[in-house]
Amino acid sequence: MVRTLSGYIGKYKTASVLSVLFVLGEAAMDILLPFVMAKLIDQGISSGDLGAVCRYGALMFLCAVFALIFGIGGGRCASRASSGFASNLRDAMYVSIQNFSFSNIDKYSTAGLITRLTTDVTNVQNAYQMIIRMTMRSPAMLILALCMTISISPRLSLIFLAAALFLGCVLTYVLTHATKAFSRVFVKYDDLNARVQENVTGIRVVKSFVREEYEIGRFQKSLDEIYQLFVRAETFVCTNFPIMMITVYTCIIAISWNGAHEIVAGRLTTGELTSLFTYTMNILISLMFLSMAFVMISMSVASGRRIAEVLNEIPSIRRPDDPVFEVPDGSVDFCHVRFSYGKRRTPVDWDDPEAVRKYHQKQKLKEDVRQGRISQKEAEKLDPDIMGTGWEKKYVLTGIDLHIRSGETIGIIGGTGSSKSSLVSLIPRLYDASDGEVRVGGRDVREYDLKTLRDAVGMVLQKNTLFSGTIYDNLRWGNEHATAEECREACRLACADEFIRSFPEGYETWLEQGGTNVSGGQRQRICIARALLKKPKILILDDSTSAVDTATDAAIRKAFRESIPDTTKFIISQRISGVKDADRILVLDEGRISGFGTHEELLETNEIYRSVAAVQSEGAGDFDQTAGRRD
Amino acid sequence: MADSRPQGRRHMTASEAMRAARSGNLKRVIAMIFGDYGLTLAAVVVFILIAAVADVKGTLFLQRLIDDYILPMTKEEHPDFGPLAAALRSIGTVYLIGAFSGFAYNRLMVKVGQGTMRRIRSELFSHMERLPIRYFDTHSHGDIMSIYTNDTDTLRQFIGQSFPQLINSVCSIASVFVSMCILNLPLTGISVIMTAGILFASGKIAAQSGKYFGLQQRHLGKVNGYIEEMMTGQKVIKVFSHEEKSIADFRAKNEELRSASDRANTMANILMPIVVQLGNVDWPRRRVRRTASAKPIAPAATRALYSPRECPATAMGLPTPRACRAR
Repeated sequence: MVRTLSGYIGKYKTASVLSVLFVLGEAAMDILLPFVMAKLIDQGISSGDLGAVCRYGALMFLCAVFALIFGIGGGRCASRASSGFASNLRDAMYVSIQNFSFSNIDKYSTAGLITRLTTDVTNVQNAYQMIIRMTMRSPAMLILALCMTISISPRLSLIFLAAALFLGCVLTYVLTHATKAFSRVFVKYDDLNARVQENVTGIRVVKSFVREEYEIGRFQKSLDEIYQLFVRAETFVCTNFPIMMITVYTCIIAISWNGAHEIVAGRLTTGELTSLFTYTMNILISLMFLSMAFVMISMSVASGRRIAEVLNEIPSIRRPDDPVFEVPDGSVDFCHVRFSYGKRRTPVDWDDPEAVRKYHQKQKLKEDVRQGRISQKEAEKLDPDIMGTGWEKKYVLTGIDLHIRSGETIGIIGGTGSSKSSLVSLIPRLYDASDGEVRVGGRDVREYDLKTLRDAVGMVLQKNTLFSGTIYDNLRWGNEHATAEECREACRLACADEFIRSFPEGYETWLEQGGTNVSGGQRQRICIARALLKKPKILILDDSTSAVDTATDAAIRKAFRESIPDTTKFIISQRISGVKDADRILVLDEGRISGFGTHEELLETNEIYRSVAAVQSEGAGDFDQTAGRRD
Repeated sequence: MADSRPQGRRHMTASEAMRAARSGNLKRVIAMIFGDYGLTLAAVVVFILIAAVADVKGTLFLQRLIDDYILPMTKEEHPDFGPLAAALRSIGTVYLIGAFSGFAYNRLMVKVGQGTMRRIRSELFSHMERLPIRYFDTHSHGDIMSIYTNDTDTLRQFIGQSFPQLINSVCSIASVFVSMCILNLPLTGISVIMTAGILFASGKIAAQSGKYFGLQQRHLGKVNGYIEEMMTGQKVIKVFSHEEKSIADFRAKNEELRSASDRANTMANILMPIVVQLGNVDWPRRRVRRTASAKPIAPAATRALYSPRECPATAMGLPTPRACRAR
């Protein structure tokens, strides 16, 4: 992880090195000051030599000035280095995420990615600054100050050593426990933030079900928990304080007592005793900081690891070495395609005590087998899947063999989980087929340049998103250089022009994040227009008119038929009415082709299609409801 | 939903609005703390005073140690260590009381700090739940989240660290000032002037630092918002091959954040060396005319008392307090 991350220090290496040098210089000056002062007292003040006082006074002044310069220089460089490093990390992660394929994205949650890009980077930034300042300064101070005390009085320095050892052990002990307590706090913190996010995103739901008071009560409960945990954790930290103070004071008293004897015996000067007091502070403070830097850095290790994970993620879909930059036509072929999202493990439901108990039981059994306490055979009697990894590969599409001509309109229908979306997502290569081949324009999709392919395939996703910006801004995602007229034309096709013009600011209307300030149906139509602006050879609508009324839906399909006849169209729908005028209709059932033909053909030959049509013609709702009845 | 017509371009982001409301309301936060924890705070002040007196007593003792105990002994043929032992015993008790008071007020402040944070978070959330939906439409979600995460953390730093430090410093300054006046009036005058100089310099830097920290938080909010939006729409970005554009936009925002963060941290980092070194420049001159005693320990001790204490809380992955980082 360290190697991965340190690679991104990049051009801020110089600043980092300079910072370390400055910090060391500053530490040296800080150590020199009490030393010069001891001389000033012994040779100047005690003997009343005004010249010596001036000389050493000037030297001290110089030391202070240099310490100041080093201090400022170090601060400047450390800040430059750490914020630059953080910026590099954010940038690298962002670029890495942009190169993620859909299956890479699926691996991380959106909230997880956001945390990595923000909080985790901040943690690493602080830790890095800590490393180049504290971890260099404190050991340097510690060693230099120890050297000085030893040179002044080897006997008295034994006191330091004892105190340093004691403090080091106790602090490490206390801080390790504090760290644990704090990490518990942060887990709760994440929960709290997740709850806030849930409420911010789902505020409409909260409001429409009048759940505000309930949510506030729930939030209050988490707050109470955090309060308890936090107070406990900080109490740990508080105990540091008396421990540190008592050690310091014990040192001072011990040094006073022994120092007095040494002075009386003539082995120590009063000036030296004074510097010893200062070094006491230096040594013990350094120790304190060192132990805390240690904890702080170890806490950010988790953050660093999470960042490295994103940076080391290998995009599962990459541009081929010698890509094709031209999609000849809109024909699509699925040749014996089988597809799986990869191995999935059924996650343990941590809220269910029974599931957790089973999980632990299994872990224990596995351990017993490993340790040889129980034979594998016996273990398998208790739990047949004991040696399995718990990961299984499930194919969501099997035996798909389809050949679609350019310009055809294909309707796709099937119940939830029948893999309609999975099927079409193979066309623009959002995922790669596990077996077999998907061809567009007669070529394997894996041969195309990704951008070329995705520009040729316009896709309106089921979970579609608009971005903050004007409607024009959003439409031009489809084509950066689209003129206002082209935008309007696309909107007319998608039956969006009319309502957009009814807005006071028309096409300049500002859409909020996710397009939440327009209705669901309006959002869907803008999304369709956005895809149309690509002038794609293949257009895929994944249940994209679900929130649009039937008449408008029909109008959109009619417009497609008349205005873009050469574009191959895939229309996924829950409604028979949405697909019935398609050239051919594909009926999917649990990842397999159940039927493929025209409306009339399917009515005659396909059981599933017929029953859905029957129910829906009675005015019943979506496929799912009827499919449910079928089951 | 169609009736909630688009509002046109927004003029103020969520956190800007909330921050604007708050920056004028630091007073309100302080009033809230005093209202809820008046008695506790009174106890805190008492403990801080005891700790400060113990600190001053300890410092004065070190000064007397050499002059009153050690130097006379060097002149005697058969030195008697009895008085020194007695003095060390009594000062040991003072130190113990000081250490205990220090622990006591820190522990009490934990309660005050966390209690206030709980209340602020709770009020923030209740307030948010009652805001009209339009508020959520007109503000980026990442930006609203940033108020809970980044901004509340900053406020927590203030309550948990800066606030007790403020009380602490005021008490220390007062007691040190009084004892300095007792020791030597003219030298106290010089110190006051020098201190004013330090205060002026550090005040300037702190003001700058505060400004840049505000800027950093604002940019952090923006980047947060942008990341949130893009991560949510990541699949759409892929479908439209919009990666390059999204990276370019991100780079601009990231660079803004970097430079703001750089400036904020620089100011925070250089604050401490300046204060410390001005103090260093100040004291040898003061020392020259005094006896060979151990006064210099005072600034070091004060620093030791205040700064390390701040770190642990931050150590745990929270934004680093300025003074602590600067050290």
